[in-house]
Amino acid sequence: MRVGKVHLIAAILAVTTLSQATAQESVKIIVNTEVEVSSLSQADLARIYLGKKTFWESGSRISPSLLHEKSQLTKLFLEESVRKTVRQYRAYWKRRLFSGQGTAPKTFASSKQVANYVADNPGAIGVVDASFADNRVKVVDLSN
Amino acid sequence: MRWKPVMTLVVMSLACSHGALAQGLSKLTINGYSSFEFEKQIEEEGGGDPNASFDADLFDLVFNFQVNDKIRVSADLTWEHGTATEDGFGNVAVEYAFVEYAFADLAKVRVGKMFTPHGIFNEIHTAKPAFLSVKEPASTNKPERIVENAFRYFPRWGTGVAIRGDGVIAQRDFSYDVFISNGAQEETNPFEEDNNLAKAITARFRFEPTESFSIGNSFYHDKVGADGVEKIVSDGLELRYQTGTWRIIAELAFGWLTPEDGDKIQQIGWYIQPSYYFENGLTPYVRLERVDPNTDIANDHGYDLIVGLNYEISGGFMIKAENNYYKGGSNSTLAQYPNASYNEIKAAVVLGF
Repeated sequence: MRVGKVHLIAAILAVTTLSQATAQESVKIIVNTEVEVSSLSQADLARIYLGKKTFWESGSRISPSLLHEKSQLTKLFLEESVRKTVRQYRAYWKRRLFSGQGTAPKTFASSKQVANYVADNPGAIGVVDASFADNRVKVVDLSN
Repeated sequence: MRWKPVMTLVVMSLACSHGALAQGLSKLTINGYSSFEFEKQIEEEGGGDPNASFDADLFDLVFNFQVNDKIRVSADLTWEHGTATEDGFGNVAVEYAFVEYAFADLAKVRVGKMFTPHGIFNEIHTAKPAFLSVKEPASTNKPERIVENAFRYFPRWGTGVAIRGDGVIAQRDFSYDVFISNGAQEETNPFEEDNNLAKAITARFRFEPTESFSIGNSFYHDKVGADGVEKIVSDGLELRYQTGTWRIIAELAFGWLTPEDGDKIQQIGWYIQPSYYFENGLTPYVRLERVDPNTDIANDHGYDLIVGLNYEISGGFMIKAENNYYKGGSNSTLAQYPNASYNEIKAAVVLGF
């Protein structure tokens, strides 16, 4: 009985810890190998996904991508890195799109597809699962 | 045998053209929105729609073509009110069509026809999936819909040259727009000819002191010299605040119209709109709007109090329903109706894609 309780508490702690994982721990930011950037600030990352920063320092255009909005990873990334809920983010991009300010980042069904897009497009950046690995793309560090 | 090189050439040509087409299509995005509306004035007398009308309000297609890293073409084509040109019904229009050259994020130059960058709503315009209510705020965009003798603070579209950009000051985001256009006019096509005394100038600056708070100021100046109007000047203030679930937007607009014969008229309009987002997609909202079309005349103002509910069923698909309560002063155009007031129910089914 006592062992059962311990297991239950351990399980609750594990689930709580998992749900409290931050975006920095859960996601990996990848870029095309031609992008001459090895780290990004959280503020610049947010500005990229809000369409306010559209050029790398080299002058090439940034092509952002991420998983579709139903993904838990995207939900976590948007809430922690972009400071918007999925609904707020969608509404934000609708306003920008229909007022002629550009199009929203491309979305894909899997980290593999995001990586394919990033690998194939110079200037591309993507958000993938932290456990995902693909040597065709470059991982960038995030700073505060 | 001699057909073999020809066939090879044809196959190679097709492959190349297909590749070029595919590459071109990858640079093109097509989006759009539609809106179906219903309006019914409650009282017998009023300025609304007494007939309980359905309205095939609009169908818009929005195109964006990223020509290269620097150049983007963007256009919004609209078909309004079930367009039937043979019968003279509805409206087909280019809402905007411009070419944008981006020197950097801080400097993007546009040429073409575009929305006047004034306030929060004019550039969102009629994109119903991009805002909560059935109609955009009238007090700062179409004030004559509240009191008939009010004037527009600025023309909703313009043809000309704009420069806009996004930047950072003290680690806080800002954006700006400057637009030089043909300005307000009715005697000629303002998107082709300019019969004004000078070019119209619109400018807007927005600043985000925090991630949840943004303020902005817009300015419009136009020496019209036609249609009985010498000059229109307007100034607008905007505010947006958003927490996790609450959102408040508000605008205040001042307009000064100088007639060719007569004294300058000052008009003031404002609105405030709080809303609350529920997780299930429901968003109740309230908007209070007021227009005073001439600050030198007492009691000529009008109010519109809107209580509404927006339900986003799934991404981009939403249902809206609201009641508009219009009430005017004793010298307002609303005074022609009993109690200087009336109610109108408005509803819409909208889709953004």
